[in-house]
Amino acid sequence: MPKTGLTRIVVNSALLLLAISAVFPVIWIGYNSLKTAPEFLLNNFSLPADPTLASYREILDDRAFFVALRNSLFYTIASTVLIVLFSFVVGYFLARFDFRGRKAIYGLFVAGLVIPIPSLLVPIFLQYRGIGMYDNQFTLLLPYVAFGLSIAVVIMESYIREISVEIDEAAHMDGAGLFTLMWVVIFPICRPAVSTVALLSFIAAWNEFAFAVTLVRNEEFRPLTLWLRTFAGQYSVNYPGMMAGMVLATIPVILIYLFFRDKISAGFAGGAVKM
Amino acid sequence: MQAFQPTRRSLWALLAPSVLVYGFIVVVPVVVGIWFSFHEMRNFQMEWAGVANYARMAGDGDLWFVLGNNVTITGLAIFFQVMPAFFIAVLMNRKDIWAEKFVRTAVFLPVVISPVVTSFVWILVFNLDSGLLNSTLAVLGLEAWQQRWLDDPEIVIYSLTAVLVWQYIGLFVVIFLAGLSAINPETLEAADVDGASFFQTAVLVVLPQMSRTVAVAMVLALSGGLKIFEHPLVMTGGGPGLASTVVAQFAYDVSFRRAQFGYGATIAITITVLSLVTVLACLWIINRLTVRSSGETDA
Amino acid sequence: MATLELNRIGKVFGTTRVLSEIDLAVAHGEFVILVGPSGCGKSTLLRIIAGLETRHDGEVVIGKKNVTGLRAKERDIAMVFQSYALYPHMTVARNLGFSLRIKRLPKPAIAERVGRAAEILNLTPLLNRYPKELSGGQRQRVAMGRALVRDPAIFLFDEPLSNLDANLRVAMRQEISDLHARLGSTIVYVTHDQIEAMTMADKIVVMNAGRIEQVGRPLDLYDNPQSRFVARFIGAPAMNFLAGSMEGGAARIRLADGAGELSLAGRPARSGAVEIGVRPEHIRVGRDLPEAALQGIVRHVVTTGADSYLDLDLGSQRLTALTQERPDVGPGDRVAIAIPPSAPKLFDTETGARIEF
Ligand SMILES: Nc1ncnc2c1ncn2[C@@H]1O[C@H](COP(=O)(O)OP(=O)(O)OP(=O)(O)O)[C@@H](O)[C@H]1O
Ligand SMILES: [Mg+2]
Repeated sequence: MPKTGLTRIVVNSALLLLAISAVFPVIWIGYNSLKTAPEFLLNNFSLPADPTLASYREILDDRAFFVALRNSLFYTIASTVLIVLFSFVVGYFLARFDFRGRKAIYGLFVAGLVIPIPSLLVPIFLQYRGIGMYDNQFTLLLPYVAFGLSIAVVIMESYIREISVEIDEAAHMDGAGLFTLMWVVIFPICRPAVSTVALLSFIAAWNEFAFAVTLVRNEEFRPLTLWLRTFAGQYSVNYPGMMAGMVLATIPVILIYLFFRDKISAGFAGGAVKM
Repeated sequence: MQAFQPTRRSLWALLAPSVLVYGFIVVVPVVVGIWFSFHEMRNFQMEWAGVANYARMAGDGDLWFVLGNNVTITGLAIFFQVMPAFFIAVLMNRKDIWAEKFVRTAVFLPVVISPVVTSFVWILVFNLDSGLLNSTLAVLGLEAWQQRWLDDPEIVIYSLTAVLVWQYIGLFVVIFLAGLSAINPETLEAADVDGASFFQTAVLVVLPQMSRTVAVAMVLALSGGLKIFEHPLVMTGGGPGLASTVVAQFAYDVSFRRAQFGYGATIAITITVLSLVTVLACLWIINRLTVRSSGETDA
Repeated sequence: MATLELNRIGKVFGTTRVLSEIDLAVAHGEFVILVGPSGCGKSTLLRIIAGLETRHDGEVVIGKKNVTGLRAKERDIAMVFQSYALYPHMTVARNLGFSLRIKRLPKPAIAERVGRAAEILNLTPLLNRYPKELSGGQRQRVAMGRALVRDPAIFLFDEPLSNLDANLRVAMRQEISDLHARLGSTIVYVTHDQIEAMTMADKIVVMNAGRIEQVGRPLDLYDNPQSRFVARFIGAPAMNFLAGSMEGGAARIRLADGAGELSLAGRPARSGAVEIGVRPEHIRVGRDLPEAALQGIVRHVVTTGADSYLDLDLGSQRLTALTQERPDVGPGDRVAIAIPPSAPKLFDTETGARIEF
């Protein structure tokens, strides 16, 4: 690649333009949420002349938002914890032990990477309705855990496989039982994989919409994504209000992303090509 | 067998929770779906329908139309998402990038945002008169270019694709960057010394060494094409008409709007099997072809 | 500390037999080294003693107790792994104390034993470091320390020095020997480095293709190899092997292709083809040696300072001689070669078994 000054400027400008177009819509939402509705309609491009938190105040006065926030936190945290625990156990067993059914179990979890989730919505709805699990506090937990497990198991398994078995054998000879061996010796060594799994699970559960819209009706059990849809749908003209809702529903993942950018992007990319 | 391996019984006891949860959500629905596909709802009762649902699929023009939408989106995505992402990654892989941290952070940011949120973002961008796009065009004096982005049946599918490209191109960039980091940088320098242009380097030097990553990215885009669901549902509801309906939403609407759960399940199961078979076949072929020739260690 | 006894140990991986009929007795406080070429089953045997390899034939007895059915953690054995297998997320102190923590020893007792082991191994200043902050030799010592704190019945080492550079290896060899002398522990040690074996062992077990070839003290193996394999394996530079044939009851042996004859100190009751083994240091080479019976031509001369190696052509056969004198011959020179009658060892050409005389 010739490194003349001109190419450099062109390349870099193009990349900057790309980067700006990736974030601008998000930033645009951010600053417009601080406008009043009339100001937005007048000029949606300029920065707010007189920033106001009125839209946010309105949302924070609404109980529905807090119910949804609580639900989202519950689904997200619970599914993240369960995915980490489950995937570590399964990943450890798959990486270390040779037992009948090992290949089948691995194949089963990998298949989840390939199955188009939306196509399972109807069957899962029918199944849930059939056994009365539809629309309650725990309805969404199982799908979130199950679909997070696929990638988590693959990440954990390949990470544990890289750890020398001699570590396990040394711990075993030092007198450690399976529980100590797994949780006191190997689990801490897996910290990088654990944090990748936790971050991916957190983001996936926080953002999830398809299962929520299919399996939950009751306002008491809605996560934020579902709340946002109804909330935003109510506004035909109060765009800043709608934008404030979007900001509130997105801020947590954006913060987490900014903190753990490399880990998250590597995790997504690694997971995507693991299929 | 490891000396510390537990007995078969405790091994399975510890695996059980994960396997049961997973099986309940991923395996059982497939079985349930297959059962429903041979039945149909009549007078609030499921009745045996034989292969009627499958026969109906073949002659369902609407189904073929929405499948066409999936194909259009997937094709466009490969062209406007996977290919540009490759070149963007090659560019970003250079050492002299301005504001590299910002660029990397920004390009991937949309990937981590909920599809519901991005859909609403783009509803506002595409909004007829107060939307970012049309009002910017107005400011630039390009009123002629203004469109009814989400309401024109001729255009909506392209607007939808643009949103998907915008949201997920960063994922492909990062995948390619990971692939790039695995190839020997000296081959790039050698190409440089040999006087190759950027495109020559990218196509003749980098691409062959990343063939596996590129192929896997294609498969990802392909299987991604059948996973589209949230964006059209939120942005257009699949409209106008069926102009932006994809097959997953079609199955959904058949089930929930028309209460034809049997037929909905039939479509759902067919897509699942179709996708599984295509993707596994592609991966099998890729593994066959690239085991030896690839310069990468692990993709 | 304890004795160790292996009775008819056998092991099969899938369809490949890796060990057969291994019998071995290790006395209290003995330092036993298993040597043999790569893949001969040393690690497998060690892992069977440790209890890490399950499903084998035969029995393992430690002390008076048959531990065959017991798991590794129940055998009171400590092992130093080739990769050291240190716990990367624990400090040196915690690595050392891990087994004691599992036994739920009170904290002061743990600290005391860890401190003692650290002192013996000069690890005291490193106690708060993590494994990745240590050099190779320090990691190696931590691995030994982890075995030491447990005060086990038997110590097992699997090629503990193979990841170290040459200088460090020599130093650690000395350290391990000292440690053994000081603690008097029973040690089974695996290596494929015969120098390591010769310098450290009380007793060497030479293994080949899953069997024990010979067991003995280092110099016994050197002076009295019971097979061509052992003769070739022990000693560097390796023993020379020449093809020859003899008449029954004669004290002489004819070299193949008529290169000459060797006299023997005895009269083997054998006739026909045999293989003659001669250690390089037993061969004398000179321009003119009165006692010389053979003539050869010098191919190369290599001098390392103290030692000189001469590569010789003896008819169509090759021979290496080792001498501490500076040779006064060079490549191409015709020289006299003397081999004292006590030097040659005879081996069966077919089976490689030693022929006594
Ligand atoms: N888990 C296993 N499955 C199948 N074969 C094995 C297994 N472990 C070892 N082997 C085989 O058993 C034989 C002995 O292996 P072992 O590791 O004991 O050799 P070694 O003497 O320690 O060699 P090295 O000096 O290279 O460490 C080898 O041929 C090896 O390929
Ligand atoms: Mg070995």
